[in-house]
Amino acid sequence: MKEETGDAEVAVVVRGLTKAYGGKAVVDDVSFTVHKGEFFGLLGPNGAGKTTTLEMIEGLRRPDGGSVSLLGLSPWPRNTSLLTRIGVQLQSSAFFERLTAREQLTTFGALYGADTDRTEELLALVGLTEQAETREDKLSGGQRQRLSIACALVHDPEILFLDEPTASLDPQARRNLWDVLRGIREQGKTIVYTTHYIEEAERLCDRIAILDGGGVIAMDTPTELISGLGRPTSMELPTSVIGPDDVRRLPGVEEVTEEDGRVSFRAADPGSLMQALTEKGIAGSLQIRAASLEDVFLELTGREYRS
Amino acid sequence: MIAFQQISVAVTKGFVRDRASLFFTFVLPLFFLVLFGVLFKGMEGGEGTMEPIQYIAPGILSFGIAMSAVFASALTLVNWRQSGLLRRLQLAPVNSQTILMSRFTVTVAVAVVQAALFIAVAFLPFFGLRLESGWWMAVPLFLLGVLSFFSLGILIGAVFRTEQAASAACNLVVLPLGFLSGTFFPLDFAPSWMDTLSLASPLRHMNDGMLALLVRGEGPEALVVPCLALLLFTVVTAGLAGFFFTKGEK
Repeated sequence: MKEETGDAEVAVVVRGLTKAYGGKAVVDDVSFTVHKGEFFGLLGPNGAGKTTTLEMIEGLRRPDGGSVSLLGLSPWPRNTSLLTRIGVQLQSSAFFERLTAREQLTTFGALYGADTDRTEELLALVGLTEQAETREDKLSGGQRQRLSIACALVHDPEILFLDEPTASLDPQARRNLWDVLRGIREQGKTIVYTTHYIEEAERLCDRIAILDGGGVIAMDTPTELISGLGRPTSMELPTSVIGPDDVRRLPGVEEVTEEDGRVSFRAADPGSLMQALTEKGIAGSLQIRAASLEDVFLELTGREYRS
Repeated sequence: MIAFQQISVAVTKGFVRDRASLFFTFVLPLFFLVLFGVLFKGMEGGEGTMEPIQYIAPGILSFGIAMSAVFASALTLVNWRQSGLLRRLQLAPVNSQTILMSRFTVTVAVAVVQAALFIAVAFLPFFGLRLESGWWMAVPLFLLGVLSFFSLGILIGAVFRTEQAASAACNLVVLPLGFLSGTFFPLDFAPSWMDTLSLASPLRHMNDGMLALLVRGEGPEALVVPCLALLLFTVVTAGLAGFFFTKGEK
């Protein structure tokens, strides 16, 4: 990991960040670096310290120990010149009471002295053009989250911080939001976001820090994290089409186990395996289960991942 | 400056779109005016030849302004804290003075509309209110009164964390202030300890000053003591509000 803090390529540098409440460490010696243009995810179950970490980086909370460098500057004490360069969306979407979506953007824009011409563009970016005249209390959960993100973008910030933007959204709304986030990323913004959805972090992030119990337990690209497990892809066939003994006779098959009417195994030579299965006419029954970040979490903590 | 303007616009729109607040702010004082107007009609006022309306109208108006100013500022603070808007604003390049000034400006604007509406109705022949020619000199007193109520509301909002608790506290504070200040009955007939206690109420001083200027036709010198008392009240409540607010956010 590079150490530079004043580097033009570095957006966030966190070193040994620590925060305790009532004698209990909520964030314990967290360090990482986020590069400009990166989509960086803080992933972990509830209570892992994601939000507290994010709020210390934003400058909402004062760290007990360690340091944060945001675009080369310290976010604590409050530094208004830095605030104009970052966009934030907090866990609860905070709006001015009874204002419409467009009015929220105009008001937040004014707080930042931003160009209000971008209002329509932002509404379109987050897919709220049709809800422009809808009051905040009449918007759905997903629409509120998207408006909240648009409000974080009014002043065209360099870095965007999002705290659990997809939490408590239905699957359709979450997918809509993913498209919004990908769109923002394509504009070259740095995004630092927290989530407890594993497969979401895997799909969206360039790099992920997995947090558990206040500390970073792993950090890398999703692909590296998974391949770091060194676990070959596991395959399954139902016992209704083939028994475990017959599976053992297939070419290159290892680690055969039987459970719940399924035979699981690993294949050293998938080519010959597929050929043998095709000859038996059961290739269509083969199921492949790739390792995921959930396996990474299980491997590192010895626990199942529960958000 | 644009931040100040837009927050003021946002707060005003939020207020105008809330029907309950509108009713509470503009209609309720008129309701009291009608009630007490009818009640005291034909009764001999406490001050010789003065019509009762001359005596009760400024008190009811001050009370109505106090009620809405205290509630509005307390609930804004509580709701903004609960919705997370306060924390969000902490991460925007705008300072707390600007936000407070915007909220105060809207409170003053609302109070001015309240007063205009109330006085217009009280001018109707049925009530027959008459103002002395020097009424405009009461403007600084009026502004200081609103400022002291605003500051009291912010104090309540800083101490209480939920809307229910803050509303209850506003009622518990403002209603006794009204009784203590001669809004509903003249203090001339009240026991002397009550009179002494009422000196701590901003409404009492606002009433004293308004009565002196608006209906008794006294000169601006009658405003010195009320204005100083209101200023003192504001400084004390604002200081306490700052203390509780900082303590609460930690």
